[in-house]
Amino acid sequence: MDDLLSRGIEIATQPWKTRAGWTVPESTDLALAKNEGVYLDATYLYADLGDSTKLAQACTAEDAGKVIRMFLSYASSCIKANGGAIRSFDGDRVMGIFVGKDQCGEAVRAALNLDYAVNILMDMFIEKSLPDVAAVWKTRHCTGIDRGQALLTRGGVRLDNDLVSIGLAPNLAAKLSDKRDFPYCTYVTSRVLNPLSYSDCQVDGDWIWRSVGEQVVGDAVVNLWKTEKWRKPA
Amino acid sequence: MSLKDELETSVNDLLAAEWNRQDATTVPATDGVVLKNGAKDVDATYVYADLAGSTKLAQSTKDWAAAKIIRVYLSTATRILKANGGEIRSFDGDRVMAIFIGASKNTAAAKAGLQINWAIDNLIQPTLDAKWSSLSWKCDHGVGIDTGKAMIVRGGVRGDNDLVSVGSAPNIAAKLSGVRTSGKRVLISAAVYRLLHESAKLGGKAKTDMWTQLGTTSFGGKAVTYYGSNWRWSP
Repeated sequence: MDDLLSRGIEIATQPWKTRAGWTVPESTDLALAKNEGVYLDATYLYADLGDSTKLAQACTAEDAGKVIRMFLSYASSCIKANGGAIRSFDGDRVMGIFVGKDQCGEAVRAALNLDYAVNILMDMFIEKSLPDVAAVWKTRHCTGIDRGQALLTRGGVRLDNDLVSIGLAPNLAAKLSDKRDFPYCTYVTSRVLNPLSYSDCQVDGDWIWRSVGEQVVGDAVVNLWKTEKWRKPA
Repeated sequence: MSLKDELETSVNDLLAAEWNRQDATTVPATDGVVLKNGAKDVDATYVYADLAGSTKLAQSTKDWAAAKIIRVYLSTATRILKANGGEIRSFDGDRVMAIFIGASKNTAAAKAGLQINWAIDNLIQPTLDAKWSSLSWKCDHGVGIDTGKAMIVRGGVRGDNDLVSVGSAPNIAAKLSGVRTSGKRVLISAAVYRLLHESAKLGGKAKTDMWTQLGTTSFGGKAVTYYGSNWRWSP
């Protein structure tokens, strides 16, 4: 108990040692004991598999395991292939961080590649090879993206800790990935939309973004856009 | 390899691989499950401890202050979960997840939840009040607990992957930790409640039931009856 008390006071009162960062820190780059943090101007992407509770309940563990692994593998591949860094897995959800000049474009491309991977490829593979799953469950996902300044630091205790991103952007991106609005599987804030190039806003010559307008997302008022379009990976 | 090729090959690999499935009586270490086809079956109790109001916190305070508060919560919750025998297996933003296994897993998990309640009211909030008296945001949390069989596998790609628990229990525990409308901070499924030792069920001199039945909700098609408690257990 004294342990808890002293550690809490230590964290609360110790001055921060922060620096601005240009690349996404590895877990090992930041010390736990001292209040070390890195400020990043980054774009956060959360990709979340929908209805995984039902999947776990209605299918065998092995089949559910294959589906979840397929989704996580696809999401990870799409994020990495478009320049993102994977920094968190949590159940059926994966988080990627994009930095640099074209971070919003990269994140949006990753989301649209993933949309193709899930709605075309994954759906097809499940129909073909996991018919028991196809009979009771529909493949659904959502990708949420926001951009902003975040503070990256370590959370937890010695031997059990991890990188934590603190800021509105990771928070909102996570909440947006909870949306279930099929076929609109990609949700972004206006902060992400505004810097996009024309080529990132069109597929086959069609403007892809639909305005959702202002919405309250976990106590924050944000301007949201969504798309049902995908982009086939090259 | 292009992304397109990578996507195609990975799925073929995933679907074709025979599962290498084993029963586990301890929580697998992070490197204890093979990416290709490893699977460890556990009968476990899952606890998610989730800081409440973090969006509001991120908006109303300087980020370095919010970061301190989130770190304080995570550090406290992690210590308490571990002290009760939980194995930490995931951090995600302002949320931490622990797995409990063994004869008293439900009792230990429930006790940990009530101890975090105590820590918020007796350690964290007083420290915040003393240091940042003008902060209107108050620390609170949601803890969700469920028990059952789960299959632990690896998800992701080579070089970027982590343990994933497949099953109803981790899923329900996560959902319960996000409920903010019940008026109770620690929520446990009926399955957990039924298995509690008296020590984690009855509290105070009068030995009253610390848990209130809150109702039944459908999570992903399954009806889950759950109980809640705001009791505080001093560590």
